[in-house]
Amino acid sequence: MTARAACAVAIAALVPLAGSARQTFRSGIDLVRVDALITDGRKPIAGLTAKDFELRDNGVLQSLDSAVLETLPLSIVFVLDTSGSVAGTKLSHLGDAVELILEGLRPDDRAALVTFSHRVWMKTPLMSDFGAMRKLMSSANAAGGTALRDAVYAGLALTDVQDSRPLLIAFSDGLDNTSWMSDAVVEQAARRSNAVVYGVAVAERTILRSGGIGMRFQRVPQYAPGQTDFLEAVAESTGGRLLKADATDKLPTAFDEILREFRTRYVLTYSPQRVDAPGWHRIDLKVRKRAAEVKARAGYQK
Amino acid sequence: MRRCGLLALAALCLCASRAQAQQAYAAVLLEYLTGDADAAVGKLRGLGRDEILAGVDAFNTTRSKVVLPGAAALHTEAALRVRQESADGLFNIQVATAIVEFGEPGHLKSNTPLSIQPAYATPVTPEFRNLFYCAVINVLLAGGRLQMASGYLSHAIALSPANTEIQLLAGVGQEMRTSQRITGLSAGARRDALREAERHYRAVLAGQPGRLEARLRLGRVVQQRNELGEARTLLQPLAAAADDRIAYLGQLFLGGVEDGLQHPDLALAAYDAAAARVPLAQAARLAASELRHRRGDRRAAADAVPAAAGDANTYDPWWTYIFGEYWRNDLLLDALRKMRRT
Repeated sequence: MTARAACAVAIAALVPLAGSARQTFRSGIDLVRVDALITDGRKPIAGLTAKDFELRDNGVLQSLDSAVLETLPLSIVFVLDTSGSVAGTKLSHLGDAVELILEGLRPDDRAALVTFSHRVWMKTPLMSDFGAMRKLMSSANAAGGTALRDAVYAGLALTDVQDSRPLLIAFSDGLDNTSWMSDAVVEQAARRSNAVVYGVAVAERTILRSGGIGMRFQRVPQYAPGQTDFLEAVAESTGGRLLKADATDKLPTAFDEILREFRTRYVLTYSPQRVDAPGWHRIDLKVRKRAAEVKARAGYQK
Repeated sequence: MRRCGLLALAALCLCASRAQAQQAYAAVLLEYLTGDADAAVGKLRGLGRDEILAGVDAFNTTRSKVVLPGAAALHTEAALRVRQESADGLFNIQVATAIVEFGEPGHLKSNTPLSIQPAYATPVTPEFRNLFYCAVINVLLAGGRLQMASGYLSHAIALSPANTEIQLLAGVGQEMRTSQRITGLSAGARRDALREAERHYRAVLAGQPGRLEARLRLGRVVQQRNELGEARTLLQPLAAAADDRIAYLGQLFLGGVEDGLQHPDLALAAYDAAAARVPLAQAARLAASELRHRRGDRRAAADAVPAAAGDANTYDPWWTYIFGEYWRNDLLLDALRKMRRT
């Protein structure tokens, strides 16, 4: 597969039909797909159509083929930290969080499970047998170092799917200390990927801090310096975001939020015009005539 | 009068108890020196601290000149042979250290709160001392106990600056300092540590050009210092190493060097060669996958993941690289045991 085809959701292009449960595909035309979260700062904005968006590809205004609240099946890749620091109740909370997502999936959705300590372990490729995934998750052990970057790369490689919307959920509670790959290498892989990455971090520890004289002590999460930098950078570059769950008992809430949010994202498609140069194409996306926050991939590789 | 009698009786009991403790300790030591060394190590672990301290105290007055190496080796084995994490392990290494430090120059900062001052027994030999430091440092580095290892390294280097094995361990210690797995150094401190590691490894290769571990590590360090040309020169020949671990890591690092030199084809060849040497390893396969992903071959990149991160990928020399030559722990302790009667 060429870079052009792979990076721009090319070749097997799709024209989603509003209100249709399944998509109709057309082939032979290069399309770029942009998965975008549009909010008013807090809540997703619904009801937008293609004409509400202004998209520039390397600065050149493009005409959108479609902008829909996507109904394609999801392909979710879980990349989960099972290093020694996650052992015990943390791992149990993580299992609860995964379970919550699995409960929210539809029959034609798929999920894959990659766990990591110093070792990256693809427990299962993308599949619809969520019962099997539950068993794998419940049998996971936590021990060893943390190869977050290598694991995120492996997850990204698995998201190269054409017929669904790839979502990568990466969870870690610490700093990478074993990966072979660097931050920059994996960030670049994320930028090339079609996946939207959501990172979930929990604090390394919590401390008790006084709210003042006569005030009660409060638990304050403490993240290690640089702990969330990589996940945040990867997530931002794909149009996703980092959620700081603070403590593992909040993981189910965070994972639930990700799935809900992902289902409210628009999928925009366009056929690039007057931008034939190979290489990196920067995407700038805005909503016309109203204040809106836009989260979308930074660009694509042609 | 009655009180004096009780005190005298108590002192007598203490002396008797002390004598018994010393006898128990001496029996274990004798067994270690002349009988079943493994059994002796087990029995030493069964002794209480008071018994051991009483026995060690006897070194100050014993007329035997050659008792110290055996005792040091015994305590070192008791500390490090199985589990260095236990409180008894720490105590035993403190005892061994006190014995070995006897006779060292006084300006060196001691690594133990204990000390002995024998009237007759002679200090351990320099050869024994070198071996003791190599064994202890190797075990501590293998366990990621860098701070403790550093104290022993400072003695070892001060006493034997030309010893290439100690220089190698010092380099491993500096490399370990740069790892996020052990410490969180600033960029400047990391550069300094890499420079120090480089200095140590160059000293090893100057004295022992065929020490492939030093060549591998020097290649890795100069790569990280962005001296890619020299890194390539150092690493390329390791492909022919008989040791799969050395060959794998050499090719893995070479892949990184070639990638840094913008030679993706050579990088891919190196990663593939590494994977061929240790087929179940992970890092080289993931690195090759990433290169293919970067070149646009997404299908090949994805297809490589199951072979890199599957159920069978349970061993990768990269995972333990920072912990030095951990598999030498028992070899060094065996060698120390052989020297127990020197």
